[in-house]
Amino acid sequence: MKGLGPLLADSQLAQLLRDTSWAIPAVQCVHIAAIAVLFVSSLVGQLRLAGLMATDVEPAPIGRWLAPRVRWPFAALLITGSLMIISEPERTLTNSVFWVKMGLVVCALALSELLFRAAAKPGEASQVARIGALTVLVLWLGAIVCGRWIAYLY
Amino acid sequence: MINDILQQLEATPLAVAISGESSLFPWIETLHVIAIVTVFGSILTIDLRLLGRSSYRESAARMMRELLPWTWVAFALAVVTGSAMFISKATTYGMNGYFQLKMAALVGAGINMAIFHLGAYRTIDRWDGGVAFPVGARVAGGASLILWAMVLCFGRWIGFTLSPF
Repeated sequence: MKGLGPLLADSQLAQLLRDTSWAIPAVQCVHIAAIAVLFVSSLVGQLRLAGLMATDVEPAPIGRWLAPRVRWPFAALLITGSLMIISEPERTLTNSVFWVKMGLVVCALALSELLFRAAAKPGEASQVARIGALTVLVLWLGAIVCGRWIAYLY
Repeated sequence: MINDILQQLEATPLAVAISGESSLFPWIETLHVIAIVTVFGSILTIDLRLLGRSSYRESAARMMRELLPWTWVAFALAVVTGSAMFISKATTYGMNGYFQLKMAALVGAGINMAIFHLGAYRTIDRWDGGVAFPVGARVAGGASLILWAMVLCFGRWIGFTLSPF
């Protein structure tokens, strides 16, 4: 990873991102907007699966509603996040908070995908799935916190 | 006159503590980020429904009753944390063009919300769940989306320009 950083930093794309004064702020705006969609959709959907919100709606349509609202913002987050890494690799690749964030994101996404499958089955979610739903929200919150701290702990 | 007030704000013990070397500012900013993603995400979910897109439930009125309490609690947290960050560098932020634009967009979003509540929202029981929402509701949803996106972006830009432009 230490070798990859300078390689990325010297790339043409990295130089373009650094030379264009509005590029990184704009990328961050898209990043935050995507987090907003993913986080609030998860908040509504996972609280429903946990039986704490909108309980008149069946879990199956909630799962079908939530899945694209996690996957599409996630794709946008991967792209915008990669652009931020490329512009300033040393800020992230050697930063332990960044890797904690990546760990939380992988866990949150994997657990979300498992819960989309669980939601597709008829009836209410199991006790385990309910706890999983609340865990997803804690994981996303943790990822947001780590994301903000990348800027301060490097 | 305004500058005097901003300078006094900046000199308060709380403002001095926040602008100091401690990790107070990053933590306040972290809470601010959690608050704004909740505000923006919940409003966007309602706006898209008002624009006629399907959502996790049919009724826009029920969505508002369900989501707006989250919006308001998060908005209160955003105001408290935002004010705390503001006083730490009150004179700098006060003069910052993006900060002023952000406040203008916030006022615009508030006016748009008031118009909606005094207008299309009063008859929501009649049109909610119908085939097409009235123009008033769709315009309010679209304007809200644009104005809150401006609030978000201007807010992010403040962090990159801590001097007047």
